[in-house]
Amino acid sequence: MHRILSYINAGFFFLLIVLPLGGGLIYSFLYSIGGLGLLNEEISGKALLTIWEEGTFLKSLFYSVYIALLSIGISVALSLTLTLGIKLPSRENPYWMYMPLALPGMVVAFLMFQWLSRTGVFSRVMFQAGIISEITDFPVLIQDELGLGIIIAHVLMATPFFWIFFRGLYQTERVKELGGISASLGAQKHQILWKVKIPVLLQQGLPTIILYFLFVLGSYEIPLLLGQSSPQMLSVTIIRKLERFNLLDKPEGYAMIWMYALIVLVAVYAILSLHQKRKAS
Amino acid sequence: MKKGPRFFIAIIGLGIAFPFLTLLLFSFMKGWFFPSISPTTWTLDYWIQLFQVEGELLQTSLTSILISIFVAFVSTLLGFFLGKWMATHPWRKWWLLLAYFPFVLSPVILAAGIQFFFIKFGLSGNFLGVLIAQLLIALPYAIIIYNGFWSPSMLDREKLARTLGGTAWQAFWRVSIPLSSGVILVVFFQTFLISWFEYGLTRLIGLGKVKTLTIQVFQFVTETNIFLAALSGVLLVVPPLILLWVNKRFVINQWI
Repeated sequence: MHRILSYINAGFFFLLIVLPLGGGLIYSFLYSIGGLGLLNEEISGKALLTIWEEGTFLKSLFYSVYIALLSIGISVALSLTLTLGIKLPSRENPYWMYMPLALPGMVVAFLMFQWLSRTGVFSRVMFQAGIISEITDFPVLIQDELGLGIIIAHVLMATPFFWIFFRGLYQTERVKELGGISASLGAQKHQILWKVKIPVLLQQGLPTIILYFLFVLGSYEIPLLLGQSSPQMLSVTIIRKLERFNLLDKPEGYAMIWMYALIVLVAVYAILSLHQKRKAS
Repeated sequence: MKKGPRFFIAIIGLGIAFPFLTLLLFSFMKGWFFPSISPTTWTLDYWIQLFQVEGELLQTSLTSILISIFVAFVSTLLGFFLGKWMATHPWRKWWLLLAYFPFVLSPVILAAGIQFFFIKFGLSGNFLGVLIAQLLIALPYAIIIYNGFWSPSMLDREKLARTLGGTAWQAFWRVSIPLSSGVILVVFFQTFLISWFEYGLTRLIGLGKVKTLTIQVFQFVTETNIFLAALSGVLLVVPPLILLWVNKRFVINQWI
């Protein structure tokens, strides 16, 4: 009976996780090398060569990494400041701290548009206050070169999450007590902060920080609404390549799928190994 | 509490309320021209339209609720057994890696990879296809949470019940289920939210024919119908707010 149940579970796992994932990646790989697809006549590395020569994949990858690094970096810094700088009346998190988690990416992107565009709320307030005299005086924050709108949107979403997360870690890792021990051993306030509290929180939170980094790296709706036409974040570039009328672009889109998947696979493996090493030690 | 922290907390509270207030106010506005901060008129029109039976937005909300409840229910149920199976399997690390993968890969990229198969099996552009596609990202998440729950000590408690003379069914029904009721609730709420917030995968597999609230928000934004987009946004954030309120004690602090 136990063995039968094990086979049934393995069957479901294979059917709903391994098969779609494997099938999708194998299909993408075969399409990208010309093994599948209506217009593909022979197996070749043409698509790979094209994206390498045009630099499409690398440009999008670097742009995505830049957005994700900056978004996560700012969010982690802000949330650490909130965790260590603001003492709430109770150890338990109040409900209002969770409220931002109810905002989906699509809604945050929409709000960014209404707040930060040149005809948005902030621009109007500044105009009425006499800080700017023309619409063009307001800086371009949406669909801009530096991806500021995308970064601000991600920071707004990630900071509340990390604040709750670090507050949880602060208690489970007994950071306050560690600080107390350091103080009794003669450490000064800034040493306790920079050499005890922040390193403990960052070290324990690293797997989650990397996971969130990967989420931002692959985010879609926020850069779709707030990003400029070039360069674009990876997900947007891939979907645009696959949805273009020019079918010759499709192999490039599929090549980018499996190349990105490979990067994510290595990253997830590294996170899990790191996590298990920590657990073992 | 000192005055300083109270001031900061008030500022943060205002910052947190601002997005919700913006959505709510925009859903009552009509005509909003630069440089005016206030609209030309305030109206209840969009809200009245919403509650009309033939209203599109009401139907979209119902579709979203149906999809999310189904996805959450199946993921919670299947994930429970798959998580336990995985926790006791010698290849646990590799299964966990595979479970993380679809979730971290980016749902829209996963959808792009599997779209061909959905078209081939007649699952593209229909309700069933969207259900299955969303299950492919919600189920791994459920498994990951359950995998953390099925620790050796948890499994030992079930074994102890068997050692003390309980049948497999009794150990499952009287020991495992009561002990896991908290995590079951968390998984249900979390997978509901994954499905509720999903956009890219739903658009690619549903081809825009299966309209969920996120699809509707995007459509209104591209049509520059910001007031209806705001109303859809309000509808989109209300269920998660309620779920978070109900489930506050279980979410985040204990399971992240």
